[in-house]
Amino acid sequence: MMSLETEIKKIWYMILTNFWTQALFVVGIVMELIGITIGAGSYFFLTKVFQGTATVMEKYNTDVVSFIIIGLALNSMLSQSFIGFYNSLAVSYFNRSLERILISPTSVYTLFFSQMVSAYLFGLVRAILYLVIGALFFGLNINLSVMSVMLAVLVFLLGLVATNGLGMLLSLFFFYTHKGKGAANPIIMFAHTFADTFSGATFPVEILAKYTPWLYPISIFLPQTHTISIIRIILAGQGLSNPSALVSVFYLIVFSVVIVPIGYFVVNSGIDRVRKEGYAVTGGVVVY
Amino acid sequence: MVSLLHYAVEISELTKRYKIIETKQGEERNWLTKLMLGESFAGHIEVREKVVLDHINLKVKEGECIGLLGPNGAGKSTLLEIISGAVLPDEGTVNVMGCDVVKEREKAKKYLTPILPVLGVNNMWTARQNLEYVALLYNIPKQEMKKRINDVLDRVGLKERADENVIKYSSGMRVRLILAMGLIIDNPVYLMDEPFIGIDPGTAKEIRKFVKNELVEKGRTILLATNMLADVEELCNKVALLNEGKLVVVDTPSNLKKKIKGIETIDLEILTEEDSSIIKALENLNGIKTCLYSSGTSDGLDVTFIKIHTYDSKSLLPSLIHTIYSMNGKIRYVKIYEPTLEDVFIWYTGRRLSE
Repeated sequence: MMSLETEIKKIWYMILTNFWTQALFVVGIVMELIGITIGAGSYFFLTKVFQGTATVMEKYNTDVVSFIIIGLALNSMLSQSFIGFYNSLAVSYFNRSLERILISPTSVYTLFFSQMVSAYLFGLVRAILYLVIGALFFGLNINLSVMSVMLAVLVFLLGLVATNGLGMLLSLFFFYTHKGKGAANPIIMFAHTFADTFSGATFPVEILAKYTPWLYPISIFLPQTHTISIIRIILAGQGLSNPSALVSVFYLIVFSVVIVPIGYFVVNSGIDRVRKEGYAVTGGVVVY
Repeated sequence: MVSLLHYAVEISELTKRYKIIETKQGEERNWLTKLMLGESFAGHIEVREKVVLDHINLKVKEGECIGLLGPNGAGKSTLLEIISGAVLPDEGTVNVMGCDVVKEREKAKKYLTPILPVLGVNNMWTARQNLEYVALLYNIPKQEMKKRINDVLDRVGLKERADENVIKYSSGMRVRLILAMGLIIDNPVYLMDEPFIGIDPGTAKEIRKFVKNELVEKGRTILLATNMLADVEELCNKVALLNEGKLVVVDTPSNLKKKIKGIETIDLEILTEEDSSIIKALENLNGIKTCLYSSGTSDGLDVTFIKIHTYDSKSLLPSLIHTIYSMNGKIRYVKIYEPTLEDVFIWYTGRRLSE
């Protein structure tokens, strides 16, 4: 009979494995830290040079540097939610932890959950670094009242669930393309870059409606766009009084209710497909 | 009420096919295909279906240790993967202690102890942590876990180094740990996929002895996939010969050897590069039942290894030697012996186990 304590301990072991694997790449971690500082600094100096008041910024009621740093910090986590499920599948397929779980009485979702928690932890560290560096060096300005923070956390959790649902749908490219189980999947790479760019992390997506109207609907389809937008508004001290924020919250709820069950179905049938097709083989032949 | 006798494992008409994609060099593809298939790829792909298991029927009684013997690609690992529930069959059924591994998967898992070295160990953890992880995966109660871990570590001889990171372990110690990871589960049906691979013969012998004492003699049901004769000869009371997905024959090792009674094996090493004219000449000699050959090196010299089956080695040997010398081949080594299980395999399939 499994207990909650056992489940938590399993997840802890799985997270530890991911942590040690990441810790092997010390240079990568240092480079990431440097990258975050340089990234935030570049945006800071760029905005100092081109400081202006675009009308699309009015709804956010904040300065450009804070706008960008909040966007980058949130995107660090949302990006994990979007791509984390696919990565978790790909890694556990190749290191055969998926197979180990499938033959044990443990649910495969325990593995996925632990992989996602690991990904979120790394994303969280990155997000905190953005906020700390932003606050220390680049004049980050956010409303840290208890109410704002609590509301932002709630919306953020809702955003993570919705984005994760979309991430589960992305696992289609793992299960149904032979390339998906091989090296980096170009479709996933494209989707990742696209979402990072057009979810409004570094610029207000409303600008897309004016210059690239065909991109705008795709951008506002992404739950990341709504999550980042609402949290910016909340952290600028407006709460949920802004009607566009309420519409976005509603969108995230509907998106989660519709997409998460579909994602769950896709993953379950995908796992059966993996069990039908077998596992990674070596030697220039790919079994799909 | 006494339950009806059932087999520990009952496999019926089991068939598994894999689609295999092969990259073939040839016609240059457009940029999109290259993007999808990889930059360096400038050929085309071919998809073919391979029957990995072909209508396998096998019954294993409780307490039996059955060796699944066959060369690489014979289907041994796939068979174990299907029994373990990791892979779904295309046709047929597999029952473990009366439970269908597809329809009653969760129930069937409770009877299985998979020892699959391919799943590996976590090198950054200690042996104790690796064992605790497996115990957690199998929901072994907390109170029992510590006791079982200490007991198993003691039995496999890793107690003294249980708290060292596995990365410092020798290959033999890793195999012991992999065995320990099975022993801690200790469900009645053991699935072992080449557990002694990659270790030196001395250590392999020692670990085989351990498996014999701890598992075989204690009545565990074992399905052992291997292409090592020593594994089967020392541990198994039955052998199932698998070749290209087909189950060729199942019997006890002694009965299998009896089936080719009267046959003798001649092993030859000749100092020449693989010369088809010599082989052809040998194949045409009277009294040769089968003749297999392969090239390789022995003591740094290029040699051709020849294995011949015959009913009368004494009559055949003079003409064999004469034929080889008359065609400028030099004999380096000759051995005549009673057939082994590999000879049985060759007899049935025309292939070596090491292919």
